Amino acid sequence: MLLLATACEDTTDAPQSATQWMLQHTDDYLHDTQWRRAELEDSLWRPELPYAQKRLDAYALPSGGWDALPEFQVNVESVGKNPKTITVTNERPTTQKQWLELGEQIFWYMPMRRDPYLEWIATQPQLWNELGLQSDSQGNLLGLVRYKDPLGRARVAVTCGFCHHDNGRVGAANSHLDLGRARAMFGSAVGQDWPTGTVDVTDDHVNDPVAIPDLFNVEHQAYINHAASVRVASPASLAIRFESQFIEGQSMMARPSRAQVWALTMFVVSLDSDTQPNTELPGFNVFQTACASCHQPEHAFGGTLSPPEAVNSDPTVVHSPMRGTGYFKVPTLLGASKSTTFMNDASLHSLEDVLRTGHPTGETLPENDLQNLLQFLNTL
Amino acid sequence: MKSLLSLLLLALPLVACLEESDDSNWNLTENNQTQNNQNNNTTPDPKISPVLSAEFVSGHLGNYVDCPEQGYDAGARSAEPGGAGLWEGDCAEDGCGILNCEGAQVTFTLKNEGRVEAQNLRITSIELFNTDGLKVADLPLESVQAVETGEPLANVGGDSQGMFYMFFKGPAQPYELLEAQDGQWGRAGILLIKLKADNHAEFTLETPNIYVLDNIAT
Repeated sequence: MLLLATACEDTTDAPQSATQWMLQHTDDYLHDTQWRRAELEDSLWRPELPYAQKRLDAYALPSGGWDALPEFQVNVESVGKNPKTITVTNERPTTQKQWLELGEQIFWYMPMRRDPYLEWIATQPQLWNELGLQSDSQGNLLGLVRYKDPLGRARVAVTCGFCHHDNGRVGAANSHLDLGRARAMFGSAVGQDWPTGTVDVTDDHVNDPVAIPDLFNVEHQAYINHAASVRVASPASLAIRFESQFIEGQSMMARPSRAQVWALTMFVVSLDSDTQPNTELPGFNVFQTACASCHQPEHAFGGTLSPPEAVNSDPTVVHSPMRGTGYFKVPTLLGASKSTTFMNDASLHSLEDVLRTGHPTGETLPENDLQNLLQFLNTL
Repeated sequence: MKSLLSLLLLALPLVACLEESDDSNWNLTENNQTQNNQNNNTTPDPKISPVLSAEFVSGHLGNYVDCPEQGYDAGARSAEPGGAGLWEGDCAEDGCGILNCEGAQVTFTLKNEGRVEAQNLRITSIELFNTDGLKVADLPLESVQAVETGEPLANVGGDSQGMFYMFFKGPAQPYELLEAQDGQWGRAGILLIKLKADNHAEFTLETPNIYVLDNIAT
């Protein structure tokens, strides 16, 4: 009987996709405070960091805290030649297709972060191309919206699509964005310079801008943020991150609809790099030897953590007093063949540059191996 | 002596006239309509007075990196309110013109579990403590308004609750002001906000750690 039982055991269960998991746990996220609290604590693996402390002090408390904030209604206007008004429902979808459609709307239209310099940019169309801003076919900027903030004041804010979209590829980093220059042009008193394609998000009064990341295959990332500040314990980790990002972006005066945030998360985890790794190439063998200890093929060619001394790029961000964990996250390489910016500091601009500078440690491969590896990497 | 005796004799009938069953005359009842008993812990009677409490929702100490003159400077000014502060005006109209310049703000809920309207409810002080528990400043209040209507805080009806935004001057130099005893860079403080109504004793709202507003929030 035991042999039969063993023989009958099904060992081929496919892992549940992030979307399926999210559909299963929708009620938990929308209605169960304790569940969300547990998910938050699971994702903040360095609870002593100020970034984590803020959230632990305020999110999913038994009473009060951010959960008590008024819910924000997404009612925005696009910025450009033919502005249009967009209102996004916060009603709960009933099918996966509806969830993803809602998520896509939120990706483009939820005002995540407002800033005076964005308001100025909105009035300077002659600078949009130069600063890397992208427009749709109607001449309206992608990812920049006008709206009324919780106090009823007219504002301009960025949405996810501002940074995480490039030339029609949703999820790809907009590596042409020159927000550092935009801010400098606006006359920032700080006057810090950010290289093209980077943003300083750490708010630690240290100049540590980091590359805007692609959003592909996020469900396979073990951590997000370059300094691995947030552990992706489940897709809920991403949802909670988006929720708190919005709340901070609105100065803690409103919170987003959870149905909208769940939809956004479902949409983001559905983003695919649309590439086909070719493991038949000889370069895959080189990859296995030289790269796979960190970029594991079975984890979407990503990994967990890397100490900064093991990688030849600017380590400043991993020591950030706000978010630094002492480690870099190891990102997925899926989509790398279409990227134009590499490394956390956006210091390199092609896969060949990456290999020729000897990533990760500075030692370069023999030329033949390098060429084979490059050929393989160009399929990721 | 005769006068005293006469007085005592006169008092006897008064004592004798008290009905033994009239015990209620001897029961002390709390009169919460006066300023008496401010410091005792007796709960107000909800039938005849407001019963007020406040709960913290969210908040921040502002960001005055590019406009330190708009924040509270412990060395340079008194705790007197300086006017409307940074929360007036619309960036679309006046362009703001400054990157990191946003006044301090707290959101809280107010509940009146009594049946009587609380009248002329107001904030009387905002005390800032560092994370060691040391008081470091009295911060100037700018305004308080209802989240839903934008109306200023004034009266709170019986059996009701509402959410309010409180705007105030945060510290212009928070890191120095909030520095902890161990020399750690101060990023967070604790506020003790005192509130009072004409017909309710002073009560307090203590926040958890609240932080300086980020330059970039992502």
